[in-house]
Amino acid sequence: MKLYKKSSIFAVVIFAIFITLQTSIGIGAQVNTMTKELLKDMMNDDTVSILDVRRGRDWSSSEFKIKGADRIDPQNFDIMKAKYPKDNTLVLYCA
Amino acid sequence: MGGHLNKQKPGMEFCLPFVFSIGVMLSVDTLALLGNFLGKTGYFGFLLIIISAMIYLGLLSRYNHLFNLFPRHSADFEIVANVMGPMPAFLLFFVKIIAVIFLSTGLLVSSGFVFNEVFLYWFPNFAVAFILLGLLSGIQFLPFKGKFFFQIGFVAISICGLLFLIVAGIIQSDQILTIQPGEIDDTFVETKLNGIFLPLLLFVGFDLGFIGYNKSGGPESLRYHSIFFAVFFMCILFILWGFVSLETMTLQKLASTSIPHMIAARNILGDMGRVIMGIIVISGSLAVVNALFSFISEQGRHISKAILFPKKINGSKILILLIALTIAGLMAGGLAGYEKLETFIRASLIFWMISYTLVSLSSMRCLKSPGNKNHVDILFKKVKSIIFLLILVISILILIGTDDKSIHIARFIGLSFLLSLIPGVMFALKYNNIK
Repeated sequence: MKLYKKSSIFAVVIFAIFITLQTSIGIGAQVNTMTKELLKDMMNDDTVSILDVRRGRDWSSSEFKIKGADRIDPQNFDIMKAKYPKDNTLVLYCA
Repeated sequence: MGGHLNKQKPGMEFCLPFVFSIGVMLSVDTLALLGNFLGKTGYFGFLLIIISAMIYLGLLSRYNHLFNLFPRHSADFEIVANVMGPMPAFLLFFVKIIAVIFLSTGLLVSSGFVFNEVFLYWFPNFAVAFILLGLLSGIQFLPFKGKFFFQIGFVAISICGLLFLIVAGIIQSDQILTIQPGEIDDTFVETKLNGIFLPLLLFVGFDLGFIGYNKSGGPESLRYHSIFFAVFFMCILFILWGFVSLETMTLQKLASTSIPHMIAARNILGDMGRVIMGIIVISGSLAVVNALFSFISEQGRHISKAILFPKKINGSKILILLIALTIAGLMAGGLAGYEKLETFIRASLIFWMISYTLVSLSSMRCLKSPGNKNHVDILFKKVKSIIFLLILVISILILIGTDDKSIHIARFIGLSFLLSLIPGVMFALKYNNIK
């Protein structure tokens, strides 16, 4: 009985870490989003650049990669500034 | 009965080393490495996989030699401690700690992504990774029998899934081969040394098959045969899966994609193939982490008593807790989003391979047993051992030297080695009192 108690407590601790983390991410998240349908309509537009900002396993484990999207390091904003015209619409996706 | 496996049926005694031995080999990283490697080499790669398996079987015979000389020992580091001293022996334990931290972080996060993309897109991938970590940590608080049965489940699901896809792939190979196989990648000529030795990484972790066997009461020879079969079985499975992958994808695609296993599965059975591969990836990751956690919780008792905790505390359980919290911290800190994680994982596996040279050296030292006075026989075995050790050392050096990130890998191994010195000295100082 004691053993199952220990296992459950530990599982709860790990899950609690996750919940805390998710909450803190949720609080800070105030980013404009768009639907995939809207993006589909915009894909033929030359002034729209789609940027895949996933890194590491976020990108390598994923099956879903938008054709023609550029992979960009999201922390290196200077590259984005230099590569894309100022008037372009940049669509960043990470999931 | 408790945590012991006394009075197990012979089938179970054979099964125990098998399921733990192939644990690490079932990881999604291994499948990705296999696909990328075969994309560079084509069918020629099968020969290199067979040679790699033979090297590991040679290494297994070194383990067998040592376990026959020290039959009452349950862990390889205990034997190496007796032969070479506790300091080098500590390294055998430490490499697995390093591997479990980085490999688990990567695999659990990958499992989260796969669950998210294949099964429930609205469910947060990080939640899956944390739930799996909680589940695996919880399993470690069960008796050994519990860990063993969970491991059987994880391994059985992965193997059955792979075999199902292989059979489906072979049956349908005539219909799905609508693509041209393509030329062998030119870059392989430039990187052929690296390519040749990469399959050695496919079999790292076979030594986890030594976990807990002393609790089963089975004969030593059965453990040897079980691990031998595990390496042989995985060699066949890699070749069959490689064959199906080569039949369903172009070499270029196979070499360049980060998910060759998923694309091959999709080409074979469409959406159903994706679902099956999703299950394989998740259960394979569970098998890897459970095998590594079980190793630490079963064999870390001596080490944790010597270094971390008073004797009254169950140190191995606290060690698991600390490692799980470290993994949780690394996942929360976003390590999986850094390209460096791949380098860390590759370096951890090579570091693990380096620890095999210690086992090989220990075996060489024990050739002059009091019972063996045949000098010719000893000389022959010595030459054989030296050649084997040279092959192992050269393979490791080439693996490091020809990697794109060779400097980072060398630095990681060097730093890990330095990091192991402090607990290693503590372990060495107290080893005689605790063994």
